[in-house]
Amino acid sequence: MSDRDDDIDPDAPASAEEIAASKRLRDALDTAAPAGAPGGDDPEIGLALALKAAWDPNALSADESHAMLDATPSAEEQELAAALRDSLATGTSTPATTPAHATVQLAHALRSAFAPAALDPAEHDAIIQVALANMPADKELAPEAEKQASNVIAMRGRETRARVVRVAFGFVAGGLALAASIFFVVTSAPGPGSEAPLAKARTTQPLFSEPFKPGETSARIDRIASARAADFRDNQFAKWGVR
Amino acid sequence: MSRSRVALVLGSLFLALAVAFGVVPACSRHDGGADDGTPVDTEIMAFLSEARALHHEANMKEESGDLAGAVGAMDRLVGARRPHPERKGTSAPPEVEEVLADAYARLAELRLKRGELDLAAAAVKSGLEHVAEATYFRGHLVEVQGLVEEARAAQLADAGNAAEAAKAREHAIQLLEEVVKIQDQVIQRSLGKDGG
Repeated sequence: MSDRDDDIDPDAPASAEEIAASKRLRDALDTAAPAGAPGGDDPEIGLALALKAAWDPNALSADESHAMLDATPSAEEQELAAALRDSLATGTSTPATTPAHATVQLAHALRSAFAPAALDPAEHDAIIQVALANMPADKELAPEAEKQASNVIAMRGRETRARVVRVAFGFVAGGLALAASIFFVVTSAPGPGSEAPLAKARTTQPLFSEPFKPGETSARIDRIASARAADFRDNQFAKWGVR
Repeated sequence: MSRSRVALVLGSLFLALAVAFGVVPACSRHDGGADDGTPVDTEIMAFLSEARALHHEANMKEESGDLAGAVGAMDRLVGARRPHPERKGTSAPPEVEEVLADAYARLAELRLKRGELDLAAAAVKSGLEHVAEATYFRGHLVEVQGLVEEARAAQLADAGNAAEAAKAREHAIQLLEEVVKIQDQVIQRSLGKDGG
């Protein structure tokens, strides 16, 4: 093979056969052969036409459009359309036993998601029954469960009342907490006749951690004066009301 | 609503009312509780400042060898006008009392350096009147008192008065033992406070 390929000259002039194939491809693309008959038996022409249609599709001709519109729907399509129309009109859905019914259920699901309708009482009861049926069988609890199921709607009223009661007590408790806070602020704030706590005169013993040594007397008075100077400043600020 | 829930709600309301009108006022009363101590005020600070100045003045005079000048500074301090003179004894500001006790201790040390043993002992005695409890201040005063008695014993021994010198030495030892007890009490009390 390599020997043969090496014999081909890439700069050699086209043969008569190659020129003829090139003309057929150009003619086919120029005439824009309709879809469905791409290129006849020549796979290269078919591929070229498919690529052109994908890149730059032509509009359908009037004949092609009429042919598609006048096509008669199949019996299955007619059944599906009727079932979908009736189901959407009545608002009922049937179990998905067939592909057609599955399509109807899908349409119902989409409509319910977009604009959900109020739950029908009968359907609600049916849901409750299904749920109860899935519960473990207990003869003693069964009547109570049925009673609860029948009172589901009635309990909504009770829940509403309970919620109102909780909200009311929440307001009462909040009000009391607010009152307590105000009372605390009022009673703890310094009044005109009261004084903020001031640093009192007291022993300086805590300023020293070990027995005194000779010659350190002035250091002790330095420490005492510094400590009490800080107290004095605090007291002054407290009297001025800035602490 | 069940009875138990009603009871729970009523109990909560009662508790809230008790907190609002019972505990909070009690807390405010506690905050404003009685305390008879004198606030650290201008008078106390003026005295402390004066004491500080006189101590540093005594430092400089002592360093320059002017013991008489240092004694004079301390004499001025112990004789200075005291803040809140209406408060005497245990009601006097503790800082003032302790600074006076320390000033008397230094005065006694200065007198001791000058060999004025009786004046030194008198200064210690005056200082002890300002600190009745076991503190470092009282311990320091008693320590100085022991040193004075030790010096007295030496002075008596030098004078050939062996009997009086022995008495003075014995007295000095008693005083120094007392110092040990005082400092031990101070340390024990400090440790007790830390532990509590």
